[in-house]
Amino acid sequence: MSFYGVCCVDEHLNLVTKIRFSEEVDEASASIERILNGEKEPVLEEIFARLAEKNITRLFVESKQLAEELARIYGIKTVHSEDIVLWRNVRSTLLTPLTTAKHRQLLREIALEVSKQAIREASERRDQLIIQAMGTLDEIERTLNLFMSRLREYYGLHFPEAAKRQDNAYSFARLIAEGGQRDSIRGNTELMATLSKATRKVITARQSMGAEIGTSDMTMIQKLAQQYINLHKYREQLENYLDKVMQEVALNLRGLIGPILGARLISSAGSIEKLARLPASTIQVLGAEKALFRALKTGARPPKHGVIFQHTLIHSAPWWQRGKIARVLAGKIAIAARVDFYGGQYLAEELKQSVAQRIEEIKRKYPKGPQERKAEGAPHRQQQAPSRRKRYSQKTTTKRKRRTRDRRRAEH
Amino acid sequence: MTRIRTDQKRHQLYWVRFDDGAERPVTLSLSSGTQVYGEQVITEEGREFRVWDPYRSKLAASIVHGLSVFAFTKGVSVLYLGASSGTTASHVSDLIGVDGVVYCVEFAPRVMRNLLQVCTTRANMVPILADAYHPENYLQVPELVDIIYQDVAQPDQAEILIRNSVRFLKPGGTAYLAVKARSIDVVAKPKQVFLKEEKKLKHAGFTIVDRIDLEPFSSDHIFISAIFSGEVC
Ligand SMILES: C[S@@+](CC[C@H](N)C(=O)[O-])C[C@H]1O[C@@H](n2cnc3c(N)ncnc32)[C@H](O)[C@@H]1O
Repeated sequence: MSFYGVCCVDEHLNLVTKIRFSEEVDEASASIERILNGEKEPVLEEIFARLAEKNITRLFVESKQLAEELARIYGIKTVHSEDIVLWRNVRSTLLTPLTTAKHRQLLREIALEVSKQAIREASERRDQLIIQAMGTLDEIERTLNLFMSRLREYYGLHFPEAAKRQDNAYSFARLIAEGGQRDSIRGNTELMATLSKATRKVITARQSMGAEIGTSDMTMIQKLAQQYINLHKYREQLENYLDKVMQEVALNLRGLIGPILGARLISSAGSIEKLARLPASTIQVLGAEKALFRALKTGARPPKHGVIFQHTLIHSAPWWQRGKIARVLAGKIAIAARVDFYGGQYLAEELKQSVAQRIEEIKRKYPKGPQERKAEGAPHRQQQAPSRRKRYSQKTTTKRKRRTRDRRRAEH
Repeated sequence: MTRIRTDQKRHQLYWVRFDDGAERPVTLSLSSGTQVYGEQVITEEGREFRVWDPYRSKLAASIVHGLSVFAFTKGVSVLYLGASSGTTASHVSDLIGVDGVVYCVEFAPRVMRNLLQVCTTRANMVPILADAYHPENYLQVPELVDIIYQDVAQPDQAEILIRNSVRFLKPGGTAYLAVKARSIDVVAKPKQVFLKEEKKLKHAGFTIVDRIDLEPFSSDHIFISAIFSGEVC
């Protein structure tokens, strides 16, 4: 597929079918935008109908992104192919000879229109949409968990063995929605094929501890399972959408820490503008406010860190390195947010590289925790693990030491 | 008095000699009456020439420093990675003329806004808002091109060029790459960075021709020109 049209070839590069987008720039760019935004597009529907007529069921697509969208929207089996030689050949033998001045001109006008559209959207205050989408995403997450535990309990009345199996929640919901009664699951070969081996075994077992359930009762459970599935699909769409908007609003932030965490930071700051104005030290604890209030109310321990501690680079590091890594990361996040807000170029990869390097240094400098370092210096006095209280006091002493050391350094 | 002349030896480019003796390349504007980055415009015999500033454009700097492979002739097709707001791309657009095409890839939406204005006034510039690291997503480029020009200021520079070349560069096509060796935070010496990138390119079937240090026009940059074998495996 190109901005010019869609063509399908077989493995010998013989043309199977092709359709051009409209020769009217507006219409063609509208088609392309629909495709890029994951909406149904008649031209593609037509292509898929023609392929279905020829009994073609599998389609290779060059763009991974596109392959996934097509599979999701049209339910077509699309495979993203990494066969570079193939795509190169398609371009050199089929498309390059076709590319005349007239084609290029049309293509250029469509490209201009599509880019203009993308930029226009970026110029609005899309960060507020990010904040709402992020909030929605969190609520969906909670709802899905609630629904799932209810489903396990509810369906467990009928088939506790299957409900107890803790594999993929989504496939469990499908099992209920599409199967329902034990017997109908067993009879549904297509559904059975999607299940894990262990689950299949549970289902085909002769005995179940569960009770028989009437059809009208089962229907209600199945409807709940369907709600779960719908919500699950919606979450996927919402995540894709969030990623797209992040690309427009905060390309560097997204590049550095990913769309979700980036969106969370924008959310906590209130807007991309506010985030761009925050010093790195504030960014480091951003998002901890809520947890702080919760802690005050419930008496739990107060949070030490903000949302950036969700980043794998931080929470996968040993605890004594985390603060240092967080500081480095927060510094780069501040740069990314500023570049995004004030309209700069893409430099997230550079930022990422420099974070990686700083982390290497930190790992080299502090390979061991303060406790271990201490233990190495002095002979072991204690055999058992230190009590909680002890551990705590040890931490505070090292912290105090660090503080005095820092102070001394600052004085120099 | 004509100040602008073509130079047979230097790629048939137009040059202007200033009063202080400095010589600069100029390009015959494809879109008269428009400036792209505040460059000086000289009109002579009714033709408008844009002075090509080597401090702003790495391609101009490499030409001033004696670039030997110069493929930007009338009618060629160019894939330009990291077009930014179109400073260099607009001169490329002048050089290749209306029969050529320059596909301008830029990832940052806010930068793209400026680039779009340049593209609208030039009939051979095609804007592409995309990540150069994923050339499989360029739906705008239906053909193999004669030249790939890359200036993205990123780590992985060689990798990006290779990914684009195997998909889009003709056999025997030319690649230009501005290699940035970063000085901040980087432990490796610039020299090592250049060598490493060169090695990757050779491995991918490039023959490196020019290797130009861009000082004093831009620091920490080496400009490479290379010919692509087109053997893709
Ligand atoms: C140094 S500037 C290029 C200047 C330009 N060559 C000129 O001379 O006019 C680098 C540009 O590459 C863009 N860039 C960085 N990484 C990119 C990527 N992965 N894909 C596309 N563009 C990228 C940046 O947004 C920036 O605008």
